[in-house]
Amino acid sequence: MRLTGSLHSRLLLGAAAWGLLALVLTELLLLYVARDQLESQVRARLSDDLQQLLAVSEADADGRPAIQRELSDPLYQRVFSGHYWQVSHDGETVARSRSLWDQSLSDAAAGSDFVYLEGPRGQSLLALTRQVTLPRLDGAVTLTTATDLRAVDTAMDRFTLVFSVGFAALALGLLLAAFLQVRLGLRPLRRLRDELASIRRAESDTLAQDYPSEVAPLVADLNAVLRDNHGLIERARSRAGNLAHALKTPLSVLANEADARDRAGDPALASRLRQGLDEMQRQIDWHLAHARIAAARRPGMRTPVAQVTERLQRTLGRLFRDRTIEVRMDGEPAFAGESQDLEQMLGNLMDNACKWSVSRARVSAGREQGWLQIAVEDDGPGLAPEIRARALDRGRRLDETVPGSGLGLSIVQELAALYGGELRLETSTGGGLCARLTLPAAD
Amino acid sequence: MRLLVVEDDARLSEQLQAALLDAGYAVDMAADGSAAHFIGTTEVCDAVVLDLGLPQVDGLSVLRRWRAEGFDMPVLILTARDAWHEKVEGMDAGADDYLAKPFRMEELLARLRALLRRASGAASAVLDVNGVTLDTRSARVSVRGAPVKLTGHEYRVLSYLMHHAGAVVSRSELIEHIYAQDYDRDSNTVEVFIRRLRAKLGDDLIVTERGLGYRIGPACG
Repeated sequence: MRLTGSLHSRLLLGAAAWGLLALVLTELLLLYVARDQLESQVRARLSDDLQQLLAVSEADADGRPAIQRELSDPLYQRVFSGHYWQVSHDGETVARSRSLWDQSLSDAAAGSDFVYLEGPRGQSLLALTRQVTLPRLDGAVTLTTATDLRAVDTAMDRFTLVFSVGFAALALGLLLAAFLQVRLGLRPLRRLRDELASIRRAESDTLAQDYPSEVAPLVADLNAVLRDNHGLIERARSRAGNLAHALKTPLSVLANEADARDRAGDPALASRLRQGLDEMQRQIDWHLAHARIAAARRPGMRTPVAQVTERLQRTLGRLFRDRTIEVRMDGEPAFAGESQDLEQMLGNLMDNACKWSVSRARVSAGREQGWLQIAVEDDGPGLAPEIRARALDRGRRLDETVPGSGLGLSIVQELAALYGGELRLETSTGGGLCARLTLPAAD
Repeated sequence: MRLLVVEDDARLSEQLQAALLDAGYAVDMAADGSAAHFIGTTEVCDAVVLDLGLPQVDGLSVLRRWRAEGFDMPVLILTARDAWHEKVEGMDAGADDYLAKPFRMEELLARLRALLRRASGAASAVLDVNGVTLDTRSARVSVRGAPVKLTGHEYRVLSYLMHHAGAVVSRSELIEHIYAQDYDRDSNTVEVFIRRLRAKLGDDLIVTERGLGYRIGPACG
C-alpha cells in the first residue's frame, strides 16, 4: 500500500511509528532507572561494609595492617559467594574475605570510588575502594568491598521481560485504538463515498448536510456542483424538448405543402417530400420520447396506479366517447417510479386499446410476487403471434389507417426495460390484444 | 359552420384557413391568445382549433377562461406537446379533442367533423333530410343521388340548417354562422342564398317560418 494511496494507512502508520518510538524509549528509561535503583542499594551496602571494614582494620604489632575480626555477614565466609572484601597495602593483599579464597581483587582502580571489576570465576563485580591511612602505619591501605552484580542482572532480566511483555501489550492496545480512531475519524469520508455512489445510481440528488465541520465545506461545494450539474441536465433536456416541439410546426407546414403538390399533379415530388418528412418526424418523436423519460428509480418513490389510470380514463373517455374503459384494481397497487413515466406507458397502451377496440377496453392492475402487473386489453381484432413481435419494433406501424406514429409500443417497452420490467403482448380472452406490463412495485 | 382557428405560425394558419375554407367552413383567424379570447367571446363560432403555444396568453389559459365564462363550443387542441400529462392537462382544461403536430389535414378535418356532428347530435357523417344528402367529409350535396353544385356560402347555409334539422334558425343566426368576422354582412344576401338553394334543391326542403327564420325537416320540440 503506497503511503499517498490511503489516508487510512497514512494516519495509522504515523500513529504506529510515533507510538512505538515512545514506548521503546519509555521502556529503556524505565529499565535504566530500575537498574540505577537496584545498584544504588548495592552501593549503599558496599559503603556500609567498607565502613565496617575500616572499623576493624588496624595495624598489628609488626606494623602491618590486620583485621581484628571477620565482617559479620556470613556471605563473606562462603567461597565465591559473590561478596568480597580485601585489604591491601603496598600492592600486596594483606587480608581478604574467606569467600575470595586464594584469589584477590584487582586494585588497579584504587582510590577511585565505585568501579566495575572482573572477579574470580569471571563474575562481573561492583566494587568500592578507598585508600585510608591507619594509625601507626606507613603508607595508604586500600580497602575494597565488592559484590557480584548477578542478582541485579537477574532482576534486570526479569524486569526487561515483564516490561517488554507489558509494553508489547500496550503497543498492541495503542495500535488497535489508533486503528479504531482512524476508522471512526474517516467514517464521514466513507459515508461521503457511499452517498456519491448513490447519486451516481441516481437514487438521490444531493448529499446530506450533517457532516463534521472539517468535511462540511467539501460537501457543500460538492452539493453546489451537483446542483449546477442537475440544472445543466434539466436545461439541456428542456432545450431538446423545445427544439423537437419547435420543429413540429414547420413539419406540419411542409407536410401540408406536400399534399398540395400532390393535388397540383406532382405526386412524385409529394411522395419524396413525405418520405423525408416521415423520417424527420420519427426521429423527432424518438428523441423527444427519450429526452422526456425520467426513468429514475429512487428509493421511496411511489406512484399509485389508480391515480394515473383515473386521469387517463377521464382523458381517453372524452377522446373516445363511444368506448367504455373499465379499470379494475386489485388492492392499491403502486409503481416505484416517476408518475410521468407510468402515465406515458399506460397512456400509450390505453390509447392503443381504445383505438383498436370495438366497444370496450379494460385495464387491470395488481401486485404479484413483489412486481406490479398491469394488463391492458381490448375487444378488437387482436394481433397474430408473428406480428406481435414486430409490433415492438422501433417506429413500426401495423396499420397506417389508424393515426399514431407507431412509436407507442416500443417506447413503452424501452421505458419498462429501463425500470427493470418488461412489456409482453398476448391475446386476451375475447380474442383482442392484451398488453401485459411488469414493473417494480412500491409498497 | 363557422370556425375559429388560433395559430401563431403564419404559414400553418394560412394553410389551415385555405383547407377549412375549401371544406366549406367560414373561418375566423387569431394569432395570439388575447385576440383568440376576444373573438371566441364576442363572435359566434361552432368550433375552435386551438394551438397551445401562443404569444401573450397561452392556449390553455384561453380555453380555461372560455369555459369559466360559460362558452362551451367544441375545442380541438392542435399542439406539438403530446406527452400524456400534457394531453390530460389539455382535456381537463375543457378541450374536446387533442391532435398532435405534425398532423395530416384530412385527420384534422375528420376530427372537426366529428366534433361538430357530436355538438349537433347527429350520428353520421352523412346528413340526410327529405332526400337531400350532405356528406360532411367531402362537402358534397346531392338530391336523391344526383350531385348538386353549390357555392361556398350556399353550402354553409345548407350545412348549418341541416346540422340543426328540425330547429328554426333565425336569419341573424345564419349570418353569424356563415360569415367570418371580416366579411361585409348584409342580411338580404341570406334571402338570396335561400332562394338559390330552393332553386337547386327543390322548394319544399327549406321552410320559412314567418317572422322567425328558416327550418329544414319536420319541426321538433
